[in-house]
Amino acid sequence: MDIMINAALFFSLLALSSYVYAYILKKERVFLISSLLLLFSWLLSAAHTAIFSFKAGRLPLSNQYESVLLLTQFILMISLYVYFFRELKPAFILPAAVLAPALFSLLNLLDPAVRPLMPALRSNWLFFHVFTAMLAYSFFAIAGLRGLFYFVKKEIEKEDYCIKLVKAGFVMLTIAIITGAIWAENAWNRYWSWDPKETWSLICWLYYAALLHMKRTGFSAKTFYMSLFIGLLIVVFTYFGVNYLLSGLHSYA
Amino acid sequence: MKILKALASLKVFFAAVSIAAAALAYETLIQKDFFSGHSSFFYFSVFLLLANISSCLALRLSRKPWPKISFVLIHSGVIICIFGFIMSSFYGFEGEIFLYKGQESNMVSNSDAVYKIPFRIRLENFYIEYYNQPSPYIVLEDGSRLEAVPSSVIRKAGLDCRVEEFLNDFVLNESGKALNRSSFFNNPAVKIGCKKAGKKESAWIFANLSSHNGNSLPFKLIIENADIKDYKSVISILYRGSQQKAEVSVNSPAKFNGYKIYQTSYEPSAGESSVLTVKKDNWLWLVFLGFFVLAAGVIGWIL
Repeated sequence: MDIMINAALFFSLLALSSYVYAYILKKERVFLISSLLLLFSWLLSAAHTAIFSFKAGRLPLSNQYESVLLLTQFILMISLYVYFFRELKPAFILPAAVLAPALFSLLNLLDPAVRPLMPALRSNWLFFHVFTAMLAYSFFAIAGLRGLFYFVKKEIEKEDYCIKLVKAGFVMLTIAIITGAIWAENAWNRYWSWDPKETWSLICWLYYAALLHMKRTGFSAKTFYMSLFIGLLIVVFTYFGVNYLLSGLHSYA
Repeated sequence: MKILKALASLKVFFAAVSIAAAALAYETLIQKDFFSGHSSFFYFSVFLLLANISSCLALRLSRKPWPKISFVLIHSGVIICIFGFIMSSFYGFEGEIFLYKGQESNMVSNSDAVYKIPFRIRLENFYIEYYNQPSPYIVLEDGSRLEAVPSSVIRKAGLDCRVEEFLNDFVLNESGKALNRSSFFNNPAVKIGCKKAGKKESAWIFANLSSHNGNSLPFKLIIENADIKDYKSVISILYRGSQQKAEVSVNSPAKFNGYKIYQTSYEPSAGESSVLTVKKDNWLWLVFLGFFVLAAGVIGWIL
């Protein structure tokens, strides 16, 4: 199974390299090659995910390795869908081209063993909670890197995809927090324990709620784009930093 | 009206959100502990947020055209949730109870005090369910292994050893005799007797200890397939002369007279025992109503 992830990593690195090459030398057709390499990388990782799911008898939802796998799938799927079916613009490929090699590399450092679910995770809520959380993180990650791209280029995107991504991410994060709370009430006797993961998810939610209101207050596009990237940093800390730096009830994540 | 407009402003919203986020971040990063909700800055920001959102909603509903239904649901949902959280934290009750098999009690404790609940709980049985039957193995220095069952023989590297006894939950009784405390694999241990240069040496090797247990035998004990699927308590709830049986497991609490009884944990060193949590929260419905309204609002907003 690791061979597939290593192959996916290889093709995603090729995709990133060709993207940079295309960007510097302004070769428009090479962007398409980059996206096709990314597509192939996704197919390999999707096959790996399918095999993992078949072996485990469930979707990959229960630990860091599995959630990173799911996150990578979502980031690639969203980016490739928008690129091929909506807007054939290179800016849509860049977040996935940057994130995919990083996440595939991370997968190589994590334990890929298929393990049965521990008692606390044996609930139908696991699917709804983790699925929506990873979807939220994917939207925020793509929006964050897109924001950084436009901030550095000092341009304004014409399609308003950043705000759409943030909206989608915010909805998913809200549902993730709600489903997590309902599940916690059933499993841990409290819908909210001020666990570090819960606390930082709330910080994320508050941050993006403020970001969504920014548009009404006349904040400049530059400030908005930088705020998207800062939001991504908060998400990264919520997802990874909390797991390694702060202990809590979500320790199995 | 001026006060309402001032409270409803986005500046107040940004201020409330910033204070809340900063207070939460401080508690987790600087205090490095579970946020206990005792930060006065956070409480202040919550009340400010409540005032802000309520004012905003009131103002928008007092003007035409009326806002979209999703706007109303999202903001109402947040208000209901905050009210629910406040009522829940003031009027909700929970406490833990530790019971050995066959023991009954009506006393629960939390960090504040010990409380008496209006019914008794008796632990009839506690059991751990494994995904597969756990299999003990003795691992030798060269990596080879054999089943840790009595009469298994190890003849390698000048050693003549035999597995004398295996206990899945080792404990010493008062007279120093080794017994099985429970049927669970809490403290697995294997007794191996070896003959070397005419001398016989016996020692216990424990799966939960990483070293060679202070003896000279070069073996380790590992337990495979010991993944726990579930742990459950079968309890009797005794109330006014009546007895009601219930099964409590993780993700499946029992309910009785407005109380919920959760399978919180178990204590491996205590044998057949269980740690349950008893909870009562008459305002939980308000929190869940807030969740429902908020979820409906965000879904309506995105569709």
